[in-house]
Amino acid sequence: MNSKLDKQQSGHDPLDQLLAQPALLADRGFSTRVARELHAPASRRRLVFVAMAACWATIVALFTSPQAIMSTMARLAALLEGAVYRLVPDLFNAEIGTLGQLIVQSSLSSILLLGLVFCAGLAVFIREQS
Amino acid sequence: MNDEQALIKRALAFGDSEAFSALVKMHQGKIRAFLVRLSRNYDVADDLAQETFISAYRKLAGYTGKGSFQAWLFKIAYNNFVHYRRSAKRRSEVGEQYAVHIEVLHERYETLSSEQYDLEKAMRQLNEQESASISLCHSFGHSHREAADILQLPLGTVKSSILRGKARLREILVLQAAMEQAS
Repeated sequence: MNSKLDKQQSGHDPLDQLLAQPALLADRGFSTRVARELHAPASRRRLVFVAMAACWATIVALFTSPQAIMSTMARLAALLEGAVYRLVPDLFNAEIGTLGQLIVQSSLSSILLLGLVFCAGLAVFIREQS
Repeated sequence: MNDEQALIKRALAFGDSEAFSALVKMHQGKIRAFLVRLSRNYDVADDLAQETFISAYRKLAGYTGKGSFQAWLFKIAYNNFVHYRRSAKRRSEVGEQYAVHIEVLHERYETLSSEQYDLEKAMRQLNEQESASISLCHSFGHSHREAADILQLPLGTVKSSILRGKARLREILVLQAAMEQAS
């Protein structure tokens, strides 16, 4: 190595020649791993963005103002209340009917709570996946 | 238009990840070899290289085409390394893993002659600035100006780092050869 590194009279530096031929890392699946990473998060992100855009478009199309959202939610709650009464009339005619009414009356809060839980779950899922 | 430019154009115009994967295959060997020289750890280098290519894919629209694509990738790679090095906790991991990985050096490279093996060992004894400057200009074909841009250093600093680093490399390689002969 000693003699190899001495500058030759031709002007070519052996060290320069050695440096100019760097040992390159073998691929060994690296490109495949990168390609997999490129595909996966992008599709997940795209899916979430499309879903969010669809939700936003639906909300804008259906409601003219935040007050309209609230009144619609109240109507939805009343509809659900009616549906629950029709589906399980016996339950509400029985002794626990008062409790059932209480639950149905608070259906709006329940829906909102469920929505919040769903959003939190979705946020955690996205965070873990990305 | 060469292959690389055509692939960049496809990746840019259609978001073609297949075209970008071809670019990854084209450049991964050099980027990873550069990051190994800087981080002295193969696993860290692979993680940083992966981050480099993923962020390059996301920032591809920001590539203006003024400099070479390879120089742009090296700049992202170096920035990722700098970000990694700033973490003191991670820095302490480097030394531990370096000792383990040097024994499996041959398995990591496409080809590794005894001279290249000696050089890689010697490169590890240079400081980061010397190693990066020499690698960029002498191993991966960048100009001094490109290296200064990648490393965000003054041109004069890059040139002096190369001179100092090469002088040290000569000394180290001569010493290594003498030790081999003695044993």
